[in-house]
Amino acid sequence: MKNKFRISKTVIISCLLSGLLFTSCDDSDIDDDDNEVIEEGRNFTVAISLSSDGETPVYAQTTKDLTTGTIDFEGYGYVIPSTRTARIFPSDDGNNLYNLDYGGGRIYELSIDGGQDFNLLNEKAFQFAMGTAYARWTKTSSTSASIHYADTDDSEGGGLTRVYDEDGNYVRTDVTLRLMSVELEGLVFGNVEQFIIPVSGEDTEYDYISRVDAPVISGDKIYYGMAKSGYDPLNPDERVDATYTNVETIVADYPSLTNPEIISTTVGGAKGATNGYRTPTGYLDEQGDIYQIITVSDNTYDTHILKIKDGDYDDSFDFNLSELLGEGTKSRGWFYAGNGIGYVPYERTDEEDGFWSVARVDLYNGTAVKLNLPTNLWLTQYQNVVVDDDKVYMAITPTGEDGNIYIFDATSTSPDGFTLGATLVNIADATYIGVY
Amino acid sequence: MREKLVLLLLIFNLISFAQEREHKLLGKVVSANGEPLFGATILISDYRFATVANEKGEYIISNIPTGKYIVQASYMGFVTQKKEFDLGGDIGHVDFYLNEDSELLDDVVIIGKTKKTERETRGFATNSVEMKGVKMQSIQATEVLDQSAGVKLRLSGGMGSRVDFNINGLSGNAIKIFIDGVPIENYGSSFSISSIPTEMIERIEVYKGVVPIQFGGDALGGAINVILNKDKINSLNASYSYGSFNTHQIAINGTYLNNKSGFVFRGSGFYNYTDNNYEVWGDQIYVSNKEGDVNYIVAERFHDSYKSKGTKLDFGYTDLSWADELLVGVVLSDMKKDIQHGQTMEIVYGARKGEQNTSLLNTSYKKEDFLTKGLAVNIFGSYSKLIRKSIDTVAFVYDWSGEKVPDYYDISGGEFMEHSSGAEAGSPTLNEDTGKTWVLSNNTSYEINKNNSIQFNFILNDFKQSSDDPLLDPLMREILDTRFVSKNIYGLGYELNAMDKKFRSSLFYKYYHQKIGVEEPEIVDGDTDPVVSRFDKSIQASGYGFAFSYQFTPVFQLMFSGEKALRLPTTDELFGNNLENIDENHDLDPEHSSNLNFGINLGPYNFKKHSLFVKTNFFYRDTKDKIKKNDEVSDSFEYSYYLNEESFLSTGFDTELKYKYNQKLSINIGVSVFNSRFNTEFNEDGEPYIYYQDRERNAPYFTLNVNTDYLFKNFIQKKSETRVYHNLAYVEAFYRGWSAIGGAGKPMIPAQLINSLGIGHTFPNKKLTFSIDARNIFDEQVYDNFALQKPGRAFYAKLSYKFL
Repeated sequence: MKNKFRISKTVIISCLLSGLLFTSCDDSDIDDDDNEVIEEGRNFTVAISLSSDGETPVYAQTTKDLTTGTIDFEGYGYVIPSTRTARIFPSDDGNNLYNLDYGGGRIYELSIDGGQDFNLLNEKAFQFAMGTAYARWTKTSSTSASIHYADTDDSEGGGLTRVYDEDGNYVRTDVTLRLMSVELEGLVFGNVEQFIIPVSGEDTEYDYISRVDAPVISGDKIYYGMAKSGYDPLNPDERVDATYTNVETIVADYPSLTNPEIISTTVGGAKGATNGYRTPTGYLDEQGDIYQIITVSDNTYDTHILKIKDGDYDDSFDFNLSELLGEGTKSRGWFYAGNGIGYVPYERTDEEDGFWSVARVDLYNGTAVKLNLPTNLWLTQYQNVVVDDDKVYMAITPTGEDGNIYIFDATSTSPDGFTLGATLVNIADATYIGVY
Repeated sequence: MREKLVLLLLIFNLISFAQEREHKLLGKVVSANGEPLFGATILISDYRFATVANEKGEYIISNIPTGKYIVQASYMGFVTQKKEFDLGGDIGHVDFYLNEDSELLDDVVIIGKTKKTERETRGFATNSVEMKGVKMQSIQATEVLDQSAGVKLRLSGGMGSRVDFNINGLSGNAIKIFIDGVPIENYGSSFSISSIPTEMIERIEVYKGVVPIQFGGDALGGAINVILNKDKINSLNASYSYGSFNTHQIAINGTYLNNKSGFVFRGSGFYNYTDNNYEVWGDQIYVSNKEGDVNYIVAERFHDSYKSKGTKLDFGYTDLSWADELLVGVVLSDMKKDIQHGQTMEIVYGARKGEQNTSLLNTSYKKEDFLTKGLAVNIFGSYSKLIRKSIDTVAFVYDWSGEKVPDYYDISGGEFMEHSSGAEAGSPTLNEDTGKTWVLSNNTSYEINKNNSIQFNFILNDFKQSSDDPLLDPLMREILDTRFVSKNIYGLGYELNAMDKKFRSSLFYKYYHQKIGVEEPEIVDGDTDPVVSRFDKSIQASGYGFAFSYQFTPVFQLMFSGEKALRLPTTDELFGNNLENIDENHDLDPEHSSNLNFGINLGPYNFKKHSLFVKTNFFYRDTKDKIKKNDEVSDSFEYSYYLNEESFLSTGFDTELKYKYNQKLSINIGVSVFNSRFNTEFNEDGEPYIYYQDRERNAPYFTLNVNTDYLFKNFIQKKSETRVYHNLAYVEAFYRGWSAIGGAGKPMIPAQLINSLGIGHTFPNKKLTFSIDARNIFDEQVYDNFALQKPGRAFYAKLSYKFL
C-alpha cells in the first residue's frame, strides 16, 4: 500500500542524489583520493531483528566504513518488507540484498544504495510454486539459492505420515520435502521438486527428520542439512527431542533436485544435527570440498566439523571443536573465511549461564582458539558475516550493553586477533543478526 | 413555552381544588421502554383537570365527577397520547407508555432526566449511543458505535469480520462487551454487536475506564453494554435492506402486552447475508505464473460470504404484586463465514470456513420494594451452549484471480497446486469447540433514604470447553484438553447524593475470584485408557473506584471518576496450548490499570432556535503487567509463553459537540486523541527500550467524526418527513511497528477520510420509511488494520414498516 509510493519516492530521491553525486565527482579535483577509496569500497549492511509478539521485523542500514562510527537504528534504517519475518542474505559483492518474506510468500532482490536507501529490483511469488508461504531459504552459491520446506503437519492430509505395519505397530514417520532452486540475479526460478525424505535406518525407534535447511552446492550435488524430532506414540502432542546416533545429510542431484539419498557418518563419534538455525553450516572450500558443522544437544556430545567429498562423508577427516577448545560447545552454524580458516560462534555449554563465544578454527592445520570477546554474548540468532580479503566483519553485542563491529584478522592465530570497529547501539528485545 | 405550561398547570390545579367531588384517577406515565417520565403533564378533557407526574412517573387527580373523559399525557420529546376512559367507580386507572418523538430525537432541552442523561451525569465517563435515530439507515451497530467519541472500532474486513474495540487507547482483552449486562462470551459471535440489527437495540452504553459494579467483568479499559429493546407497548416492526455486495438484512421486532394480566411477549429476529465481494487492490493483491512474476490486479473478493441469523424470544409477566418483571427467554443463533485470507491479504484462501452456533436459555426476576421499601432486586440466570467450528480440509492453492493455481511443476500429482500442509491455514482441520456456560447474577440495591443507597451484586460464571477434531490422529483426539473457568465477581457500592442532587457520588469495591482448570488426558504405558491429570489455579484480586459529579449550574457540570481496574489471565495464557506450541506460565498475574477520568459538560446553551452542548472527557490510564507473548528457541523448536511485562501510559481526551438548529438541523462532532505510550524503560536484562515512551504501535491515536442530519417536513408529501444525513470520519495514519526504530520503508496504516451520505423518507402515515445510503462515496481505499482492506463505495436501500 504505502510501499509503492515510498519506493517511487526513494527512486526519485536516489536519482536526484546520484545526479548530484556525478556532478560533484565531475567538479572534484584529484585531492579527494582518500574519500574516493572509501566511496568505492564494499558496502557493509548491518541488520538488526526486533522480536515482538511473533512478528520479527528486520531493519538494515549500509555503510562503506565499519572501522569507525556508530550504528544506531533509532529513527534510522530500512524496514525489510516482511509479513512475519525477513530472511536476508547479500550478493557476494555486497551490492544487492535478497529477502524472503517468511509468511508472505515472496522473494525480493533489492539494490543496496547506501544508508537506509534500498530499492526494489525484482520480486517473485514463490508461494504458488512451493505451496506454502512458510518456506526457508539459503544462498547455496554466489549465483543461486534454494527454497525448501519440510512439512511436519501430522493431520490427515498433512505432509507428515506415521507409517504402521499390518499389526498396527509403528514403523516410521514419513516427511515430505519440497525444494526449489532460484538463480539470484533476476530471481529466476529453477526446478521445483517434492519427495518423501529417505530414511537411513540408523535412527532409534521413533526419531525422524523433521527440519531441512542450510544447503550447499558442490559440483552436480546439493547437500541439505537436517534436524530430527522424536515421537512418542503414547503422547503424540508431547515435544520429544531426538536421540542422535550419527550425523546425516540429504544429497540430491543438482540442478534437477531429484534422486535424494541420505549420507551419514559417525566419524570421531559425531552425533548431531546439520541444519543450523538460520546460520549456514556447510561451506565449499577452494578445493571443492564441503566442511560442515554439527549441532549437538548438550555438553555430553562434542561439536565436530566434518568433511564431505565427492558425494559422501570423508571419514579420514575429523575436527573435534570441543576437544580442541577444551570445553563443552554447541554451535548452530559457522562462517568460512577462506584457506581453511573459519569462525565458529558457540554456546559455552559447561558454563551455567549459557553465554556464547567465537572460536577461530584452522581446518587444514587442525587448530582452534577461543577469541577474547566479551563474556555475556547471546548469538543463537546470529546469521551472517562479511569476509573481505583477510578481514571478517562480525556484529558482537553483549547483552544489555552497546557492542561493536569486530574485525577479525583471519591470518592471526592469536585470541586477540581482531580490532574493534564501529559502535553498535544496543536495543532491548532486539538482536544484531549480521553484517551483509 | 415551559413557563406557560407551568402557569397553566397551576391554574388547573387551582380549579381542581375548587371542585368538591369524591372520585379520583391515578396511573403512571413512562416511556416505551419503561423509564418514568418525571414532570409529564396529564390533562383531562379540555383542560378541566390537570397534574404532573412525580419522580416515579406516577400521578393522581382527585375530585373528578363520574363520567366519560378523554385523558392525555404529554412530555417534551415524546408523542402526546390520548386515552378514553369511563370513570364509574371511586378510582380510575390509566397508564401511559409514550413513544419518543423522532423529530425531537436526542433533544437536550428536556425537563428532568431520562436514563440516558442520568447515566451520563452520574459521574462515570460514559457515552450513550441511541439507536433510534439510525434505525431507518442501512447501518450496522458497529458503525454507529464507531462514530462515538473516545471509541474506535477496527474491522478486519466487511460485514461479519473480526472487530477490535479500542476505548481511550486500551483495546483487546482490556475491553469487555455485554448484552443487557451479560458478558458477550455467553452469546457467541453469531449473536454479537456485529450481527444484531440496530432495530433490536435501544442503545449502547460505553463506559470509559471506570465501570460500575453491576458489570461483572474484569474490564481493564472499559465496557460496552448493548441494551436491547424493551418496549412496554404493543408493537410490530419489520425492515429489509438490500445493497452492494449482495447484502441482505432482515429484522423483525414485536412486543405483545396484556395490560390486564400483565403478560408480556417480546420477540425479535434477524437474518444477514452478504457475499462481501468488494474490490481490493494494492501491493498484496496480485496473481502470478510459473515464473513467479508478480502481476498486480484489482481483485474481487471471492470467498468471503457471511450469513448469520438469530432470534430472541422472551415471555413472562410484568407488574405482578410479587414481581415487577418475571421473564423467561431463549436466544438461538448461528453464523457461517467463508475466510478469504490469512493474517494479511497476501495469503489467499478459497475454501476455509468458520461456523458458530449459539443456544441460550435465560430467566430474570425484577422487583422494587422487595420485602421492604427501598430494596430492589434484579436476578438473572442463563445457560448457554456455544459451538465453534473451523473447516479447513481443501489443499488447493488459490490466488486473487479466484481460481485454483495450476500445478506448474507437476509436484502435487494433480492438475492443481496443493498446499503441502494439506490445508490452507496449516493442518487440515474440522475442529469443533463446545463451550457451556452457566451465569447467575444478582443486583441488589437498597435506598436508605432519598440521598443514600447501597448496592451489592455478584455475577457467577462457570465455563467448560471441550474440543474435538475428527481429522486428528485417533490418539490425539483422545487426549485433547478440557478447560474449566469459573469467574465470580462481587461488587459493593455506595451512592450518595447531596445538595439537592447537584452533587452525586458513587464508591465501589470489586472482588474477583477466578478458578481455572485444565484436564489433560495422557496415555501411560501399560494402560489402555488415558489417565487424566488435572491442573488448577485460583486467582483472587480486588479493585475499587469512585465517581463524583457536581452540577454547578444547569449548563455546567464537572465529573471525576477513577478505578483501580484489572484483567484476569485467560486459560491459554496460564496453561498454554500444546497445539500452538505455547508453554504454560502458572505465575501469571492479572494485568492492572489505574484509570482516571475528568469530564466537563457544558450546555445545553439555547439561543433562539440554536442549541449547543459540549462534553469533554480527559483521561489517564496507567497500565502495568500487561500480558505479553514471549518467543523462545529451544534445540529444535520455537515456542512461546506469556508473561507480565509491558507497561503503557495512555492519556488524552475525547470531546463531543452537539449543535441543533430549530429541531431540524443537527450536527455532532466527535474528536478523540489517544496518546498511548510504551512505558517500560528496561527489559528483563536491564537493556533500555529504544521505544520507551514511543506511541503504541499499530494503534490509531487520532479520530474525528462529523455527523450532520437535516429534517425536511412536508417535502414532496404533506405530513411526511424526509431526513438527509452525512457522516465524515477521519483517522490519522499510524505505524504498524514502533515509530522510534528505523527511518525508511516503515509499514503504516494510511490516513483515512470516509464520506457517507443518505436520505430517508417517512411517508405521511408514519408507518413506512424508505431510505437510501451511500457508504464511502469517494471509494477510498480504507483500512483499520495493516493490509486488511475494508469495503469501498457501497449503496444500500432499506424499507421499514411499522405494523403496530
